[in-house]
Formats: sequence, C-alpha cells, structure tokens
Amino acid sequence: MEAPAGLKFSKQHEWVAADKEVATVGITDYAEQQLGEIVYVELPSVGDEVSKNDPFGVVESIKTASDVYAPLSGTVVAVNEQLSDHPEIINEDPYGQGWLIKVKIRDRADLDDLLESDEYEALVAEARE
Amino acid sequence: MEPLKRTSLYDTHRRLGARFTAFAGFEMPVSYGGIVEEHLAVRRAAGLFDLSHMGEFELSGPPGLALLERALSNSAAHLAPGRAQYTLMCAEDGGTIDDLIVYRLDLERYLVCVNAANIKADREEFLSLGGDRVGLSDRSAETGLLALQGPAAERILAELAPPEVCRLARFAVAEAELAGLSCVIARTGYTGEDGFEIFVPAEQAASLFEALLERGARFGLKPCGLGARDTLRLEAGLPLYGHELDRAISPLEAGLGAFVKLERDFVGASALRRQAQQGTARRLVGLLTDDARTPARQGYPVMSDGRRVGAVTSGSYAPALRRPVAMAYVETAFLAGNDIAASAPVTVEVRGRLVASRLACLPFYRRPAKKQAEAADA
Repeated sequence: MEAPAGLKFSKQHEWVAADKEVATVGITDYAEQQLGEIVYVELPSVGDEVSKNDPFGVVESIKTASDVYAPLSGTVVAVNEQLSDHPEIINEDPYGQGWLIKVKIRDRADLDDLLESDEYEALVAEARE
Repeated sequence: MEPLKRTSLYDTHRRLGARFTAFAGFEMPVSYGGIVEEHLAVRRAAGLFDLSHMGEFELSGPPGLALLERALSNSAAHLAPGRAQYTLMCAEDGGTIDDLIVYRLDLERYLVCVNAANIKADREEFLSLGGDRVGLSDRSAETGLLALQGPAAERILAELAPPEVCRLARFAVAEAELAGLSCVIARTGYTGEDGFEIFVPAEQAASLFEALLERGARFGLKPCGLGARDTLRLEAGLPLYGHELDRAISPLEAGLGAFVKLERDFVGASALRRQAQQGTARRLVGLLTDDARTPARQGYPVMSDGRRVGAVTSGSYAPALRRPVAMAYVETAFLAGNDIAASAPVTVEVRGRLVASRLACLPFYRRPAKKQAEAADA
C-alpha cells in the first residue's frame, strides 16, 4: 500500500495534488485495488462545478459502479480524456496517468480538512483489519 | 447477522491470494489475480472453481424418483443412469424456487445440486412434498464441489482420471477415483465452455483442488473466483438465480421452456400451462449499449419512447467480447412489434441519463465449433 507523501487524501479514498490554484484529483491505490479491474469512468465536463463531499463521477469495475466524491469545491478545468478509452490506466497508475479531474480551487481551507499520507495510511490499515 | 460460513478450501484460497466476497452466506473468493485474467483463462485454456458452497441432496429408489417428478419441472424419469439434466423447482403459481441439476448416478440413486442461497427453501419444498418419508438426505455440508472448465479441461482431467471418465459425454456423470479420492464427476458447467464438475468429500476438496492446479499449470489452468464465474455465465446467456430467476419469475419468461415438461403433473404445472397458452407478459433478452462502453447494471430501466418497457437483470463488462453486455426482461407486447434479431433500438436509463442501446439475442458468446468438435472426438 502506497500513499505518496506530498499528496492529501480524503476518507472516501480520493487523493489531491494541489498547487497554488489547481488541484488534481484521483482515486487512491487502495480504492483501485478494492474495486478491481476498472472498465468504465464517468466524469464531469470542463466548466462544471464540483462540491466538497458530493459525488462528481462514477468509476465502474467489473463487479460494481462506485461514486467518486469531490475532496474539495471548485470549477473543473481539465478532465482526463484518456480514461474513456483506457479506464484500466487507473489500476496501472492511480497517482499518475490515472488522475481523474483538475479543479480550480475555490477555498484553500477545503484542503486543510484532508488527511496527510501517514494519516491516510493509518486509515487504510484499519480498514484492512 | 449470522457469521459467514467458509468452505473447506478457505485456507487454500487465502494462500493463493484470493480477495473474498460474501455470497449466499459464505465467504467466497471473488478473484485471485483479476477477473479478466481468470475469465480469459477459462475461454482459452482452463479455470478451476471452488463451488463447495452449493447444496447437494441425495434421493434413491422409486419413491425418490417420484418426489423429483413431483417437485421439478423437467422429467427425471427420462434420465438414463449416468446422465444429468437441468431442471427447475417451481411454486404452485409457476414462480421459480430454484434452478438445479439432477444427476442419476445409477439405477437407484439421484444427486441433486442446488444454489447455495436456496438450500433451505429447496429442502423445505422437498419436505413439504414428503421428502422425509422417502429418505431425502441433505449432504450440502459434507460435500465439496470443484468445477474444471475450459477447452483444456479434458486434457487436465486426463492427468488424474481414468480415460473413460475423460470421455464422458456432455451431461453424463460417473463415479470414479481422481488422485486416489472417490469422486462423482460430471461433464457439466456454467461457463459456456466444455468442462467438468467434480463432487468430492469436503475434507478432501482442498487436496484435489491443489492436485488439479499443480497438474493443470502447464495447460494454463488458473484458480478462478465467483467474479469470473459471473462474467462467464453472463456471456454465455445463462440465468443466475436472484437475477434472471426468482419467486416472481417463471421459467417460461426466462426462456427455459425446454426444461419444463408441461404435459406432466408437477408443482406449478397448471399455472405454467396457463402461461404457455396465454403467453408470458415479459421475456428475457440480451441488451447492448451502443457506445460499447457504458455498463447497463441490474435494476436499470429499459425505455422506449419515454415509456418503461423492461429492466436489466444482470450486466457487466464481458472480458472475451471486450465490451459490456446485459440481460433484461422486456414486455412481450413491445417485443411483438420490435424484432430482437434486428437489434431493436431502446434506451437504458443509467443514473438518470438515457443511453442508446439495442436488444440482442442470447447468448452473447458461443464456444467455437472447432473446440466442440475436438471435445466430441476425444
């Protein structure tokens, strides 16, 4: 189990890489492993608003469809178009090529509520027990 | 909630790195290396499944046969010794209590294999029809069941079984020793491929599983979980109880009329005869989303011109077809004016969005004729 330092994490198993204005959002290694092989992704469009803790998309594995929750509020400025043809990239590289959306940060305070990597690792260790 | 039961292979599954899921009260492997990999192993080589959660009943003699004839829709009386048949247990109203397989082991003895989730319902139905008086025996707990499925299944079985067992015809059954263990071996399965199902005493199931895996490795045999079992049966258009069949669905609606002998007197026969005369209100069909990407899942409404005409019962990504496929019940009245074979257009409501789709004939997958010919020749 990997939760790279420098990223922030939500309790619903999304990760956030934030620079000054834009946050990149994806699902964690733990989440993609729990889902299994991902076969379909439904994401918002550029310009859509996402709200913290609300579902913004759906990731479907062979077995099931799961909502993905926004770890922060803001406007979608980019969507990972590769995933519509190759959703399996999320399994292969969840913290890199498998990112889902980029969001223009509305309120940086949203980031403060997220977990650091060691806190997230502890949460996952507990979930695995 | 009752704690989940485990089959005698639980430790073996753990050692093989299985991910587990709760199914019919059992903690069962959903997958080891990945559902797609396991699915494709069964289509191209072979897969080995632990189905020890499934239920087994034993009956014998003319009274046992009379009970089967009364409780089940197909005709066990027409089974020759050493043969098996797919059949259904119906309620008086024609709804389905379970779908199951009856194996006639010899002149006297019958083995009945049932869905794990329905063991209790089946037992109650058998008992209500006098099962205790005819010596019905529930052997579910002490019986292990493995399925060896795929085009290489026969070659793998030949490593451990006598040649005559490997030559069993489709839906034939024999008692034989396999790796020194007393087994009941049948050429049956639920994957759309050639293969065998092997009943073995539960306490010996793990050693048989391991022996098969070891001898099958060079043929490409992989352990497979319930995830691949579900995608394989879906591609093959086979019904799963709780999805395409349940207490409110008749076998005729599910397209299983071939396994319902309406001229006989069994529980549910008169309701089913009426249905056959009047026609059923809905029918099971295949469904494909046009974008070949969006999975249509169980419960999603099937729509036409703003009207709901049906609902999806099973849907998933189909690894061998590299696209999602689904099964759905659709109103017969709608089907009357819309040809399935001509891929009648409909829409499926996916999370509030209408996705263009087409009806399709079942099954989605048929094993290649070449493999069938090889299986018949061997």
